[in-house]
Amino acid sequence: MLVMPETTAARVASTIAKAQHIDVVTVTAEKTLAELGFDSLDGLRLIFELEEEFDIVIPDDQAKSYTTVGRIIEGVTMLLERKTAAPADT
Amino acid sequence: MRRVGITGIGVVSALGTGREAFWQALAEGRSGIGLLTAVQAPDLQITQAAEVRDFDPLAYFDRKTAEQLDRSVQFAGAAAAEALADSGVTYEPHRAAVITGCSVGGKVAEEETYRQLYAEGRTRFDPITIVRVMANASASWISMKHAITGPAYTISSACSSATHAIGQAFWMVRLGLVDVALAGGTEAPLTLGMLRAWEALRVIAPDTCRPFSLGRRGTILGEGAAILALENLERAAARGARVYAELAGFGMSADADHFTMPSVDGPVRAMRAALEDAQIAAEQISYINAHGTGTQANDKTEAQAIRRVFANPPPASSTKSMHGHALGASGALEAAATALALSRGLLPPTANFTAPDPGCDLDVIPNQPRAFQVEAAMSNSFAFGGLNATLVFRR
Repeated sequence: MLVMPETTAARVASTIAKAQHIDVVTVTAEKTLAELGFDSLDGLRLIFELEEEFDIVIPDDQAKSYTTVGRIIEGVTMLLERKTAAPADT
Repeated sequence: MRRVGITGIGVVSALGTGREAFWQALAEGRSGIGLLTAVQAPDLQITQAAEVRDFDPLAYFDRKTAEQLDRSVQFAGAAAAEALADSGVTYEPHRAAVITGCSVGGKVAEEETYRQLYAEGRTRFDPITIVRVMANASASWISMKHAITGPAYTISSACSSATHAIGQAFWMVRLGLVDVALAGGTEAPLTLGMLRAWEALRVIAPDTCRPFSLGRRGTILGEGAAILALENLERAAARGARVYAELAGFGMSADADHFTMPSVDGPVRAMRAALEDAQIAAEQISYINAHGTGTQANDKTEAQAIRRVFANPPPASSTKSMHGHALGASGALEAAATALALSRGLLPPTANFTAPDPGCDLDVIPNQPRAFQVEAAMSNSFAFGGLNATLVFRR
């Protein structure tokens, strides 16, 4: 198997697919979480899984804007950039 | 007041998954107690348990649902589905109830969370954790799965939980509050924290559970669930339903004495209250499924209590010798055993029995099942905290 570094988008998609036990090919940028079968509790579990996967803290107000796969990828990307720019105090 | 029949039974226990596996073992006097495998800790003194060994959650739930449910709720969900299918009953959603008993809640999920919290210093938890650990999750899941919109809740009274739950559901059907009720109990308490806590009480046997027997050394913890489908008997007869037994009476009492020391008075009052509720005389009872934990104190006290209620005590066996002491599920497993005994004309024995204890002067049906058609029977549950509950059944 060819091992390639996964992009953030691919990691988000695979986290979504894993959380919902669905095929990753169905997880496309324009899809809403509702279209992928997420209810409100599933959505909360996804936020938790994303925080675990990327070791980030997703603030409540930002989590509320995570309605489509594309917006989640944008949000996570932004948080990752912010994390790289301002490393945690030692 | 309406009469109430048991038209469906579902069981998950150390004797196997499903009602027939359960009954088969009881009818052979075969114990499900064995080496504890769920928890590995080198210095654990508890080495024996009545574990559920053949349960595959994915046979009952899709992967996502299985993840959301604690082991105890998985057991209850499987037992409820079996009971409903067995009964074949249909109902208007608001005319059905689900009452479950559970002593300690979702311990498997809870202890794993605490391990992560305290041992690993984790700060983030799966948002489903609350749902996994809440003790009422079984009643909630069953109501959602089977569209039951009437009364639904969970009763916690330690080892009497399921008997209290069945008793309350029985009264609801009898009063006409609902037509149908799913009632029983569930427990999955085989976690390191629970075992350590039980170890400290020094009531767990190092060998096996031999209730009422000379040389008994304590009880054996178990896990599992049983759910009964209770139904207005007239309605059941009208649809030609098979009725395992009639649930005829329920009695309860509190010792108001001590957290762990059993009393004679409390159980006597519970048994008498159940007989009175059933309007059945003590002489008509010809089988008792005893609480019979296998501890020195319980068995001696229960034998005295039975002798006080019954001038000539009927045979009284403890099926805990086979399915173990599954705490909040025990009363339901034993109600299922009693209903099946009435229906099939066979009394399950007290397994692992070695020799009579003069302090427990009862016919405990030692080791060998007994073919006998009982007309009326009783099932006892006496909990830590002094909470007693007794059910009376009639053929």
